[in-house]
Amino acid sequence: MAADAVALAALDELLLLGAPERAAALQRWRREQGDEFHEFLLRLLAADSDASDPLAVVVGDAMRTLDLPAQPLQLGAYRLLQEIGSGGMGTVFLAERSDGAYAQQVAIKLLRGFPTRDGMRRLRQERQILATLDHPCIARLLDGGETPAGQPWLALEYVAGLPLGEWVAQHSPSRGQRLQLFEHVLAAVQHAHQRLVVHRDLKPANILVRSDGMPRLLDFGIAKLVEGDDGTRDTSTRVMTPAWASPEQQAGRPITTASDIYTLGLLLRDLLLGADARGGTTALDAELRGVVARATATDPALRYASAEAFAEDLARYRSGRPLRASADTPLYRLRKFLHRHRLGVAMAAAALVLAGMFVWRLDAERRRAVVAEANAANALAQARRESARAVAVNDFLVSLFGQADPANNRGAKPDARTLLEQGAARIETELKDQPEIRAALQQTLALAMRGLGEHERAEHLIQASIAATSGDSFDIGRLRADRIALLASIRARSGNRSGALEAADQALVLLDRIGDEDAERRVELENTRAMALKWLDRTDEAALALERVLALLPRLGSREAEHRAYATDNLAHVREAQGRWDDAQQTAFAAAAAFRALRGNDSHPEPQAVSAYAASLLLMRGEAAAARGLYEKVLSEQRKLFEASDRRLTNTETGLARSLLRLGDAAAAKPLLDTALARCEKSFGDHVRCPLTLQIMGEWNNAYGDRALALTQLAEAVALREDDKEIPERSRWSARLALAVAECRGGEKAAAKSVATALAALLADMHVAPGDKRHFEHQAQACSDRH
Amino acid sequence: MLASPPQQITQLLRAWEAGDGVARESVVNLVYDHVRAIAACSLRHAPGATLTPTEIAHEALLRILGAEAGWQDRRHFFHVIAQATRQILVDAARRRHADKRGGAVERIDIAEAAEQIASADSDAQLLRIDAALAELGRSDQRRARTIELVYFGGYSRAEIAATLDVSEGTVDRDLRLARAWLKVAIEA
Repeated sequence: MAADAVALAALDELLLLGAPERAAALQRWRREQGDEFHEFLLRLLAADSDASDPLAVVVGDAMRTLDLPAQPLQLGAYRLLQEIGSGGMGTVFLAERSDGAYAQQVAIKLLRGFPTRDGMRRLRQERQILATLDHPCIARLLDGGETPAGQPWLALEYVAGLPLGEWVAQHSPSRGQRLQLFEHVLAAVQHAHQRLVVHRDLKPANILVRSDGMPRLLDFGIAKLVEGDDGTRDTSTRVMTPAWASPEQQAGRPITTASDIYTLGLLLRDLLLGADARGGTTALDAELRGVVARATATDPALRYASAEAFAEDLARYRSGRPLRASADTPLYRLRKFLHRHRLGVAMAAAALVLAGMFVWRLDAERRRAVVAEANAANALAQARRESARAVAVNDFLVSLFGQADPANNRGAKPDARTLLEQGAARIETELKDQPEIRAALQQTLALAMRGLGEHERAEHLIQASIAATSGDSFDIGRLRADRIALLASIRARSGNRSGALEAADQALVLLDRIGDEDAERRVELENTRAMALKWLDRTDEAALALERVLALLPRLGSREAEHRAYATDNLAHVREAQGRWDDAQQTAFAAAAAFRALRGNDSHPEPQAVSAYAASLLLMRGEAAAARGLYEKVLSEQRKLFEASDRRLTNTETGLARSLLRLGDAAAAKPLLDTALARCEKSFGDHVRCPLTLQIMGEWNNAYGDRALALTQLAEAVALREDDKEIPERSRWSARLALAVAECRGGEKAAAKSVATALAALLADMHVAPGDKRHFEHQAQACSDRH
Repeated sequence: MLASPPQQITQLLRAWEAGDGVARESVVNLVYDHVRAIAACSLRHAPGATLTPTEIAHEALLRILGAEAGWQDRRHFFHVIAQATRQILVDAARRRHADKRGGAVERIDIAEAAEQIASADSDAQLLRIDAALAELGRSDQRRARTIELVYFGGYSRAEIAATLDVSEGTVDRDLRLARAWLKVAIEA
């Protein structure tokens, strides 16, 4: 049909015309080419305006029905026997070992799609991880490989059993049996989650119940193998079963252990409501509804933190104990916070750090933890900028976090340390060929290790990361500076102050060289420098660094208030170290106000801790009455905030008792000291953590009570002070003075000389404040009065 | 057969560009084999397990040329791969069509029978499209190729525009014309 070219040209012209012109053109074509041609053009126009697409339909059908007889019959050591199923992930065959090694039937899964070389490598690594799952309720991954054509396959333990729904329908289990079965499922999921494996496609068909009544979970982690973790597949090709998928999964957002928890909640509801052979179901009472609701919360942060926590609530239910309240706990708030900020590397690392803080909070001073939180958040804000690395890093960490969550470890000794070690080992082997991503992960793991107080490991990791970060570009320079800054903060935390200073200086020089003006980075580094300088007794330089910080604050925007609070607090300590007592006092009040503003109110540990510091300055400066008033306020707030056993109360009680003693109110001081000392003895069995309280108690006994006891207590206090290499000399002299004064009162002649020596040392020390000096003179007076 | 070193392929492509007809045929055969292997290993009759033409094309390109291939070489392959996919689908439809005309199938399941008839219709339709496309190619090769690249290659309009060396607007216009023409042709 040579007319085709003409017809197509005509159609091309007609499609460009508006309706009136088109009618005219059609008439022209009719005149030139005849009726038949005109008719043909009308049909073409009709076909064009018809939206149907038969080509797409037919090609789609042809793809679907394509039956090429090229299925391999033999894979690895296995002979395929028959196809037993197929689905979104691929095709499943029953197979048996053909090498005669031993008789074993296995399920072979041919995964859909052909991965790239990178994809294939990831798949092999992932397979190794899956092979470590070893739980009686998880079908084992036995083997895997690729077909000659490059299609990946897996050999899985073949499980003979009934899918969950059919088991309920056939066996009519009681509610107790259903719950028991489900607890086994939860235990299996917990096992996998602890090994950083998320199932991603839980559904009744993937839970088989064997004849012994035990469940076996199929396809753990397989969905991820099919999907790949390079984030290149779009949501439409993700493997999931919409009816059982969590909201984040359906929305194509990152999948974590919380996604499995959601699906488990749906499964539990279905399991309990599922009709059995007699048509019976088991009703959900309010408590079980609560359990399901908690597990299936839309916000992942509101769900059970782990399969174990989920199981624990079910166990409580079965034994009639009250379920764990889902109240507004600190952990809940932490998760909530994490959830809100979960974009990028940032959050996941903060998660680890914060999780570590919660787990080890008994070991860590609260204020240190708070500073760590702030630092973590800062470091994370930086990390967020490296969006290219973010995906890989985040994925890895989200999986680690599922395990590091303190709620998984309540009561038991948590093994987040082990987990992080595993993580570090994993990136060594798996990311050999991706130095950039490995360096990013080393940085993040270093941050996490720092949070756990593993400073040596943290330093080792960040050094490796820094060594792998070289280049002349601005971005690389900034990245390197960030990593050196982390090194500085790790060293500061581990007590290596000169090392911290050196690293912070190095990072600042680097920032200058590349011309990075980012205020937040500089604030961070100047803070680290200031703290290190202060500890190295280079207080004037420390004050200068902090003044630079305060000058940078207005450029920080929304984070100004936070940094202002910490920097002001630090500056107060530096002013104290400089011996600028009045400045220190004013700055401490300003810091307390800044923390109140930052936290929105007074009922928060931080403003109270800073107020207690301000009270101690009042006492040092000789304003005992003002110190007493402030200590009393702090103590009444802290009693509301902390449990009676909290060590932070000891410091405040001791400070208040000292203020009262200086005011001559011995009766009011006594119960405070008794409480504080008893708490210390009860918590630690000795006085190692409360030498000052012990000393003040001794001073009280010497002046108003049992003088023999006073001598014992003061001798112990001196011994404790002598042993402690961390404290300044003036603390030792203060204890020695108290003991010498007591001995002197006891009539010991040589003591007078000790008193004079101690007093001279204290009066000569520029770090001893005027109020304290007056107090020591007054104390020594008691001895000279006698002689 | 499947492990063709990329270098050899590159040489074949150069020869083909220089007008060597045998080289072209070698390339086409090679691509056909690859695409067929890809389809054979993964296309099962289960819904949801179906690969799309885009996935096949992507996979074939990676396997034949490797990830490092230059754009010029890729561009050549786009069309060859789409043609191979078309050929494989048509061959399979033709084989099934021949089986059914043999009439040896006993049907006892009505649903299954209905499906068989539907698929037979679909096969016949595909064969009609194939013939119409061949006819279109004789009078308007570019528009026929556009159809092949869209439906059997699953390529994006940008890729197609680059392959055929036209603007994306032209791709849209060609596609609209050719689609209307084919619809009329297969109704006839």
